Amino acid sequence: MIDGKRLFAGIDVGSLTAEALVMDEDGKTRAAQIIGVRPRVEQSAGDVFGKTLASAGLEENQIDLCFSTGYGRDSISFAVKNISEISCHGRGAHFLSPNIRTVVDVGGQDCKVIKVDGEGFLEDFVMNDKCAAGTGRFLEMMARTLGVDVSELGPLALKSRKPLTLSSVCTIFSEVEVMQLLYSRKKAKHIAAGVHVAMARRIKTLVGRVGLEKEVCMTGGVSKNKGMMTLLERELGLRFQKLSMDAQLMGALGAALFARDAWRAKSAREGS
Amino acid sequence: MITAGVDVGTRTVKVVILDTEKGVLASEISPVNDTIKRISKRLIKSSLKKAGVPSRRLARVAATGYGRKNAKVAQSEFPTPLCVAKAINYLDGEVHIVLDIGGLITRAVRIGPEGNLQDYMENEKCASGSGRFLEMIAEILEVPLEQIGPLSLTSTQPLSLSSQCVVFAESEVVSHVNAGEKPAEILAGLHRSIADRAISLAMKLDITPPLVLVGGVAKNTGVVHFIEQTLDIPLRSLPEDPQIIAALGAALLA
Repeated sequence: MIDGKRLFAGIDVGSLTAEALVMDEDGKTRAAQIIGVRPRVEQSAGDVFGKTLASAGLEENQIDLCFSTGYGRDSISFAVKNISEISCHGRGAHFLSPNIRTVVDVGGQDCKVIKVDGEGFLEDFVMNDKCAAGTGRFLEMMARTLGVDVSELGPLALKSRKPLTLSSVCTIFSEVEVMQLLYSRKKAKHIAAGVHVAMARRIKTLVGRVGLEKEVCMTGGVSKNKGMMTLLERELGLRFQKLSMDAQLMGALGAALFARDAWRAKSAREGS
Repeated sequence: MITAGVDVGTRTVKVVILDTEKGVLASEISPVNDTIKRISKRLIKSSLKKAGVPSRRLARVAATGYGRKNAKVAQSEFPTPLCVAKAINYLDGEVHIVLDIGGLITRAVRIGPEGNLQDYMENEKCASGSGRFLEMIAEILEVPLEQIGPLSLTSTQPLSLSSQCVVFAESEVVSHVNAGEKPAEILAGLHRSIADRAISLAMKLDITPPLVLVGGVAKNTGVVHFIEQTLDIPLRSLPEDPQIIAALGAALLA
């Protein structure tokens, strides 16, 4: 507790980064931090939680309830409960923009399309984590083939007004196509744009499987790529809703909200 | 009559010069390191020279393979399964099933009683289980490509790989290497998964021996071993380089 208000924490340990967020009973974010993951999940969770508490001058015993989420969520012993990152991502994004119904989460190794109801609770989702097409890895591989850094790929694509067409979905087949385009002296910017369009179409197929419902926002590491955002907006025929917080924190935010729900339900039961 | 067959694969281009009376005169293989058109022209020229045939005697050229439309040197084009069936029937009339594992594409071809193409299955949407996969892993393990087959045969406990996607399998192999797994065990697991992938395609055509393996990966003794072990039948050996089979088929059809 702080200033007579209850405090809730959410911890999200992913494959590359770990996040923690502390919120009060009014839903106000008091502190949040992001770190790179440590060798063990428990260590990442402890470190990011400690860093977050320290940033707001808080002690662990002031936190009323802590929930965890993410890839390593079930090995965090100090969290009372763990919730799937899919539920947490949807919940977090919806909390920031209550008109959001669809979250397109494109990470380094997977792509998820999450649909939430009017309250922010999970309604449906699809996920691709079996094939690199439509994930950050696809962009990394294409950048490698083009000989540019992955961070330069989006800006390069935005310079093109004539994206070239890539015909295959598979990353390895696309690599062969890109090589041929380079041998025929096609401009790198047009190839980069073609790469983004191919990826946007792949994501669009996934979105189609759950059905697009507005408003839509994009989260995950790939949402930092402006080129991808723009071309995906064009492909889906809409504008993404902007989030007022770093999209990487959505999982931790959602987990903290679920912790607050649990506390509210418990106090309602005790009160009645 | 002298004909040429050009097989434009995903990783290599192959050219065969054929004398319809005498058989294969010469063949050439080049990695895809330029536009398909330029490579095809260059290979036809060099293989004609190798065969000692002046270019004016070349009657017809036919192209096949994934990138056959880009060759621009042929009067006719034929689908790959048809060329594979044609060439195998020409070389060994007893073979019914051909497994073809190339750079990116894996296929199984069934040859009918009259030596015709009866049916085929292919995976040309996803590079899982292809030769490119072997190249990438050989690179990570820092083992020359031609040595990965023999090295995998020294394995005692092949590792199993869980990723289907070549890109994800690459990361999986990196983590196995970091965890101290031996290259021989990783390679054996890899070869087994490629063998299984090809066999599952052939199963859809109903496997009737004798069987033959063609394509670049046929040169890998590890993959050959695991196919023979799983099916419990020996693979037929061919009198020609298994990598030039589709090009030979195109030359025959030309």
